[in-house]
Amino acid sequence: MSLYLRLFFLFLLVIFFSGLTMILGPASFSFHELFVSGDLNSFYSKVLLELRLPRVFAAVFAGAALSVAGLSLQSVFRNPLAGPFVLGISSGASLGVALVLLAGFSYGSLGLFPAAAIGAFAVTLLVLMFSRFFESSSMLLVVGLMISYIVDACITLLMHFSEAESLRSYVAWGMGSFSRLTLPSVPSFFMALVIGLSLILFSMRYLNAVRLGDEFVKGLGLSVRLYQTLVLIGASVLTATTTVFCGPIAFLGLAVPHIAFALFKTSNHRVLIPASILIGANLSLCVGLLPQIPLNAMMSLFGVPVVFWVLLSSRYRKKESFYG
Amino acid sequence: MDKQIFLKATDVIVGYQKPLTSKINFNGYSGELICVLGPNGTGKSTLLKSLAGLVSPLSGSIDLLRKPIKDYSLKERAQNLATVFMAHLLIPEMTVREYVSLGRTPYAGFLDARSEADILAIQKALEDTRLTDFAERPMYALSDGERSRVFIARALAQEVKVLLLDEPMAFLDVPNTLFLFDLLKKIARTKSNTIFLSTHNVDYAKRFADRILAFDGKGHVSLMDVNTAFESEFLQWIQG
Repeated sequence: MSLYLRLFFLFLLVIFFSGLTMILGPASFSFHELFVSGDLNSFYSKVLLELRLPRVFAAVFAGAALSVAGLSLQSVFRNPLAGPFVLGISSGASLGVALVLLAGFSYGSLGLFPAAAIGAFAVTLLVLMFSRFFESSSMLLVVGLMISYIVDACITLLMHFSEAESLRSYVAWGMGSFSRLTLPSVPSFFMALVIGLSLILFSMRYLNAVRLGDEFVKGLGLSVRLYQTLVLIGASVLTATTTVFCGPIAFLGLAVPHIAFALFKTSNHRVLIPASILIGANLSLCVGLLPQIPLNAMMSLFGVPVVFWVLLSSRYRKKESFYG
Repeated sequence: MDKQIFLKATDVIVGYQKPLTSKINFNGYSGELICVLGPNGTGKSTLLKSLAGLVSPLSGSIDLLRKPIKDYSLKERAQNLATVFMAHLLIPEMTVREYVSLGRTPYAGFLDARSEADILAIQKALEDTRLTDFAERPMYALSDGERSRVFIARALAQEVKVLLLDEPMAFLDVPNTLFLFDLLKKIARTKSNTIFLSTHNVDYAKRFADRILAFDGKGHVSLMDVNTAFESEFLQWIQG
């Protein structure tokens, strides 16, 4: 199959699973009923427009955002284990939410979304600040991990000293869900997605060369520092926004780039970025089909076998990476 | 065509914290293959990196095409000067064509697309290095000789005036080494490039080089005619 045909097929799958998400759900009804009644204020159209449509957007946006963030971070850090979680961005969002839910930290009507956003961007700024002192990307990876350990420790302390009731709501938030996004918030999620994606698309040349080393990148006439910062900001915006609207979602950002590598057999980000967007959207739509089950549990239970299958059937097998 | 000065070093001292060399002065002309000879650890790679603008020299100035190299933008520099350093990372699954295509990065827009002209340059680079049949092979499936040619093909695709190569023949057998020396000599002649090639193959350097940039191992560096170099005390270390 040619490249464009494969991408188009993945796109059709996204449409298909979006439709399925709209049709399937706890309240079952036929579209016939809806169209016959023609009443936009009916119970059914409310379910469709206010519950299921936002869930489609949430799944597609989250899948796309986390996959592209994971892909670009894996390239920048030259590490197949890197992902949106390693920079501590998700942990930052969790800390914000933990402060509200567990410590009762709230100014008036400061909700969960702003709290998560502040937490995520605070950690992002911290990592970016540190990145100015370290030219080497592997050191930055260590810094990101260290920051997330500290943040996680703070959360653990908060959990230790909190009531059972608030602990429960915090744990539920941490399981992730596509059902929290409301229709009015869809445009802001979309805008953040566009901003994050643009920053990463702008760094395409860098991403295509970076796995060969910083000196190689410079030899090709690209500024390592500029593009590294752009990619980090882009990936942070994508991860932070997704965590704000859907909670910390594990696995996607780490796994999808590997599926994209295996399916498209290229290291060109001009292909890998659209491929990751589509694969990520498909995976999260699939996993989100059962909204009753915690998202993160489904994500790993359903996703890991997919990744194993893809890796085992690809040419990744038995090929040690080497240094020249 | 008259010979032009493509790369000029004036009172250059290279090193990291401590100077590795005394003042280096030379003119690199268009169309010549200059072999860089010297014992390990005397600053050959550091000099090549300084000439490439990747490391600042401790003092002195380097001119690329009559303009100080530090006045170039990164992109403009990469359109005029290409480097081949062996000690860089590899992506095992990357195909030869994808790798050579990276040489067109200095000419690409921010979405990294390749134009017709780019594709022609890539094709030409693959032909010049006799890699056309390997173009779709992944890098892990190449021999050392083929891989060295791929590295050089990427630099050729960059279509530059000055090429700096750091020991590209390090692990190669006689036929592959001969092929590369011959290839680089031809490139210098036909494309009027200035090529600096650091190597430990003293005999081939004597045979193919137009001039020798000799490191005496005690910090002195001089660009000389081949015969002069081999008679001078700069290459005493060859005798051991």
